[in-house]
Amino acid sequence: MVAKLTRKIDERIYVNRYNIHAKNHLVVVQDMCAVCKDKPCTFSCPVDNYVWDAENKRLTVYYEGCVECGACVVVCPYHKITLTYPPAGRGVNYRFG
Amino acid sequence: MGSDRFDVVVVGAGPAGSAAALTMARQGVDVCVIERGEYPGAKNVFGGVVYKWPLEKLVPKFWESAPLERRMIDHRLVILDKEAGFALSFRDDQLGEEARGGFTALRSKFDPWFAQKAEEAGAVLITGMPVSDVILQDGRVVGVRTGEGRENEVYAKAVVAADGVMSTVLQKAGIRGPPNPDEVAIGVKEIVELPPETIESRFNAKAGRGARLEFFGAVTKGKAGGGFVYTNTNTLSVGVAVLLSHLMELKLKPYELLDEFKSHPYVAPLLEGGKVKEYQAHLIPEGGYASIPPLVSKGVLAVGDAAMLCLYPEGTNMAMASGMIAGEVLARAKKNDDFSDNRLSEYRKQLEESYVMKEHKRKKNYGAVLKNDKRFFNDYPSLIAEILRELVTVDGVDKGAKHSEARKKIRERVGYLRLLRDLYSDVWSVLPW
Amino acid sequence: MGELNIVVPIKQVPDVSELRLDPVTHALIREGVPSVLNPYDRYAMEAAIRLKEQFGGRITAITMGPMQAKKALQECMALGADEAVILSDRAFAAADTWATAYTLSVYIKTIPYDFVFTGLKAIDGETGQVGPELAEFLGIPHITYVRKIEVDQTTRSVRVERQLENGYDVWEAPYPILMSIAREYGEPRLPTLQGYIEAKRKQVKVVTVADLQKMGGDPKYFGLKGSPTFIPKVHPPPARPPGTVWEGDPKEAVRKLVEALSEKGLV
Ligand SMILES: Cc1cc2nc3c(=O)[nH]c(=O)nc-3n(C[C@H](O)[C@H](O)[C@H](O)COP(=O)(O)OP(=O)(O)OC[C@H]3O[C@@H](n4cnc5c(N)ncnc54)[C@H](O)[C@@H]3O)c2cc1C
Ligand SMILES: Cc1cc2nc3c(=O)[nH]c(=O)nc-3n(C[C@H](O)[C@H](O)[C@H](O)COP(=O)(O)OP(=O)(O)OC[C@H]3O[C@@H](n4cnc5c(N)ncnc54)[C@H](O)[C@@H]3O)c2cc1C
Ligand code: SF4
Ligand code: SF4
Repeated sequence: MVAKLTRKIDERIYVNRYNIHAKNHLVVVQDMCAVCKDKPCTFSCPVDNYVWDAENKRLTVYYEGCVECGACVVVCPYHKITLTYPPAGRGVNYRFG
Repeated sequence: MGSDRFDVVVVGAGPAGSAAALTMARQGVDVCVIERGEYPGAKNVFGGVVYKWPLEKLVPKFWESAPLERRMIDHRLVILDKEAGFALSFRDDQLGEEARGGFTALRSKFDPWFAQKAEEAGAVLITGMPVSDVILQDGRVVGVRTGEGRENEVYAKAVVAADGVMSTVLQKAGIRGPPNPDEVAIGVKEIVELPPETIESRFNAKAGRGARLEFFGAVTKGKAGGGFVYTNTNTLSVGVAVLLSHLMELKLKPYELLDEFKSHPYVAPLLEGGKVKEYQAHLIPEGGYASIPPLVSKGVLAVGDAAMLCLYPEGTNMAMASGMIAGEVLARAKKNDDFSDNRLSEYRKQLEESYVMKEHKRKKNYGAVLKNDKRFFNDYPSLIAEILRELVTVDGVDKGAKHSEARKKIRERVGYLRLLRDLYSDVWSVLPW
Repeated sequence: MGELNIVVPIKQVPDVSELRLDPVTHALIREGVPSVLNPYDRYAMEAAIRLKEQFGGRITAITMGPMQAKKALQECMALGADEAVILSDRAFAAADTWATAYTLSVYIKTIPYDFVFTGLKAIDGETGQVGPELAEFLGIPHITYVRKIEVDQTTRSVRVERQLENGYDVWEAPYPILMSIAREYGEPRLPTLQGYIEAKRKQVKVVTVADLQKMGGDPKYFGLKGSPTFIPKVHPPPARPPGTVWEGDPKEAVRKLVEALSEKGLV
């Protein structure tokens, strides 16, 4: 399967307000991902930040649309996702909430 | 006092943190609140209905100044199967008076308003600063840090962990780990804009009044969770929550569940013509009584979601009440100049006697029922729909025959004993009422 | 060696990174767009802090604007400004760059200063004129696009590098002087926790039109009345025609793309 080029979620998060941090605040351990069976992060993340790239055997980690919910941290069976909250008010800024 | 030393540092300016800070600041405690959002509420999501208690204790006559959306005068419980819906509705205009039936709010407005109350009382509120670690000395948390170096440290005699379900403070202090997938639900929600008049005619409400609809059943494909539609002034809050461990079984994306919910024949007409203004997601503590971590440990008091004190859809009230009680205890600790864990454990005792723990104990099966029993989310909803569909169809088959058919279905699919037991106990653990 | 007095005029602006066009109406979505410290002014603050770290002294952050601009000043204090001043009055509203510079100059003339550091431009007005105009009102020299500053206190002069498109100039000038600070000066720091806490405990000084008049300001040069510039209409650029997206099977999509391009004679 070819990795998806656009994520459907993009239209959805378009309406949100983000103050995007220059650095990816999500860190995974690729060696673990390679052996991780279900890769629950790829379907639990509400904004599809995790996409398995089967061709290159790597987990692609987007972060710009992250809503900092922590679901990925909870579902990762190896507890190998580090979520560092973006500094100085960066990241998602809900206008409604 | 110097700028690096406070009596108490509160991490998080949600309902729990602001309630704690407000209570303490009013009694002369030197308190600093550190919030990671650019403004309080910037990172926060809830359904959301805020209740009169205990907000009224903290801000008397809050309904005159708080940023309320609509006062809830219509409370509906809707049980869905694939196409059908069975609703219980309680509507009473009296509930609007003094916001007795609760009120809807938006976190980006409510949280800043509430935090400002604490600020006005004298708390120092710092926003846009995520706490990254605690400072441990001889096994006790004596402060927190927001980055490298001395200038990103602050010290206190006690720390209040009000930083929500993923609590950095409790995790870094080694008081609890991240929650397990069967202890939290993920809630995804959209803000859907509609003209106020449309909302009022669709939900049969006057200006400033509105309805809250809680949905169970097919919303989550028989898994633990539910959906909701709440009326705000000129938007609806529409969302779905599902236990994370069950979502993992479904292998569905959270927003796919939301899309299905939004297109359910019972729900779609309510949203018709609305424009999506925001898409949000947040975790909800769903572990119940069994998942509550040590409430006082190493100089840290855990309040609100950080302490897993939440019985969906009641969370903000649990947060405010626990924050308030923790604040009272800390104010007394200051008066007696004794911040030992021993002294602070008064918090746990007082919480036990309050609504917060009484409810958690009454619903002590909550977590287990959600985790293990599909009956409430699958068997009952489809059974109810099947039986009612037959009963409301007048087709020449006599009602006596239909009733006995219904009884047969109940007997075969759940069993009377089970039904009785569920009616007697477990249903009261999952019902919001 | 004396300490340095540094004045940093700053502006609170709408966060343009969050200004977006409505995909349907192509109108600017302004709703809920927060105000922030003008990003270019962070470089001016950074320059001020570095000089203060090197020589000691006092930093005064100053803005002319509505009271909510206090928040941007708070941030400057969190970064290290010793004092913050807001010139706020209905009479200052709708000022153009000339009136803005004049108004700022009335106050700045009443305080001691060696340096005035401004941003290159404000991200909303984008004229880059306030700095140089302010220097004229103060009667001091100015250098724009400064990327490096060396101070010689014995001669009360500076040697600066001025950023050009493909290189830099070296200038020498006496101070007091006004400089606008380029991005190349260096990455501005973020406030620390201590900085924020200290800022919360400081007050922002509020200056009204009456105060400025006492300082010798002429009210006919304030605000809209004092603004020679008149903007009759603002035209948004014409909307771009929508693009085409080919979805589905990548091979098929590429084939369609090539087809479309060759139709237009582009490949
Ligand atoms: C979808 C959904 C629907 C809900 N519906 C309802 C409802 O209708 N009614 C109801 O009463 N409850 C509802 N709840 C539950 C309710 O939102 C929570 O129980 C409540 O917000 C808990 O308050 P809190 O102050 O403990 O935590 P939070 O509201 O989560 O506040 C925690 C604060 O700490 C900050 N923070 C976190 N980490 C850090 C850090 N490291 N450094 C600094 N700051 C930090 C956060 O930004 C946040 O402001 C719902 C929840 C969800 C997700
Ligand atoms: C859409 C639009 C319509 C306008 N309409 C009118 C109009 O009808 N009539 C009119 O007279 N003017 C009008 N203006 C001009 C407006 O008043 C200017 O934005 C303002 O005078 C500041 O100029 P600037 O934003 O270009 O700042 P710049 O000159 O680009 O700013 C350079 C530096 O000067 C400093 N600075 C700028 N402003 C301030 C301030 N207020 N306080 C302290 N320091 C400051 C900062 O250090 C900044 O980095 C309009 C502007 C816009 C964008
Ligand atoms: S769940 Fe964890 S280990 Fe598995 S793929 Fe995702 S990040 Fe990697
Ligand atoms: S924190 Fe939430 S939104 Fe961000 S990557 Fe993890 S699951 Fe996705």
